[in-house]
Amino acid sequence: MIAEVVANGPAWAYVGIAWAVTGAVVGGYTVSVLRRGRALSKRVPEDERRWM
Amino acid sequence: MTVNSATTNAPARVAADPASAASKATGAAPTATGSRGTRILGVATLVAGVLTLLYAFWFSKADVELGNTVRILYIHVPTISIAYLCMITNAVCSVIYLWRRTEFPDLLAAATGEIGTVLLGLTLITGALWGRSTWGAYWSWGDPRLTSTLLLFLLYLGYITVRNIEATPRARGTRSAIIGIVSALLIYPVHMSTTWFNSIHQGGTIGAPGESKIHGAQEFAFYLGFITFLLFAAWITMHRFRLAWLADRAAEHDLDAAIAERRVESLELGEVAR
Repeated sequence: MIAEVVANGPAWAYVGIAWAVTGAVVGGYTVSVLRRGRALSKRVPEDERRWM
Repeated sequence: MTVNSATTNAPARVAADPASAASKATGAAPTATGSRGTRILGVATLVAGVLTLLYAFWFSKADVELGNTVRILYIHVPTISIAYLCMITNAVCSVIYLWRRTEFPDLLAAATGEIGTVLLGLTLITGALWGRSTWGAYWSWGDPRLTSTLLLFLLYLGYITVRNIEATPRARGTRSAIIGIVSALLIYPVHMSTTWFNSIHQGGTIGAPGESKIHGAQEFAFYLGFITFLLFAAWITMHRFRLAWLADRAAEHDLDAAIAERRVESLELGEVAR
């Protein structure tokens, strides 16, 4: 696989960037939603945050 | 998916009903937006994601025509499909909100609208990277698929912007519902743009099992990509919905606190005047 990466460098670079950007965007958005949820939970009374 | 009081329209004032509050106080309240359901879905998303990675980079071989760039399409195609699904859900919820005026569809529309926009943004980025490696250009303004997809993305950015403008929940819900419905009207033309117009963008590659233009591990990698992004969208929608719910509850409590403060101030001023 490593030899293939070296032989097809440019194509693999675009593949790598695409997957890395996707991971970063998905991960960043997820962390943002979870952190905001944790912060807001502290401002809302317990009995109004009961999830099914 | 949510919450106490079956996600009513009116602000849930459970604390004002001690019996109700006591009946609900049987377990510890969650300290965030997670629950057993989201944890199960989260694990399933991770497992599907790992399998997708394995199939995308290990089991799936380079395509005869596209070479290794086919591995970008394992993200590009599922993200646009799930983005469409989120946007259609957003439009359906928007219609229900305008009809019933209940909080649940409004918040679900908010969640799916935002997640659809994130996924559509990923589609544009991965598509540009694939275009650069295949066509030699990141972007072509003359291409109907590319430009219409960008227009759709901008419309949903507008949707998110309108949702964040300060307003009463009813005004916010009405404005954003109208934008959500109008924006969704563009989904079908975007999807059909490669058929209706001359486009450098290729037409449909993936169909029902057995009807696709690709086969074997490549086809399976595509399906795994769909499952992964579908699970992710469902999981993050639950969290995002609850976040929207908490934001509205927190705003109500802030308002209540401000009104109570003003009342105390006016009472104190009255005492001084006397």
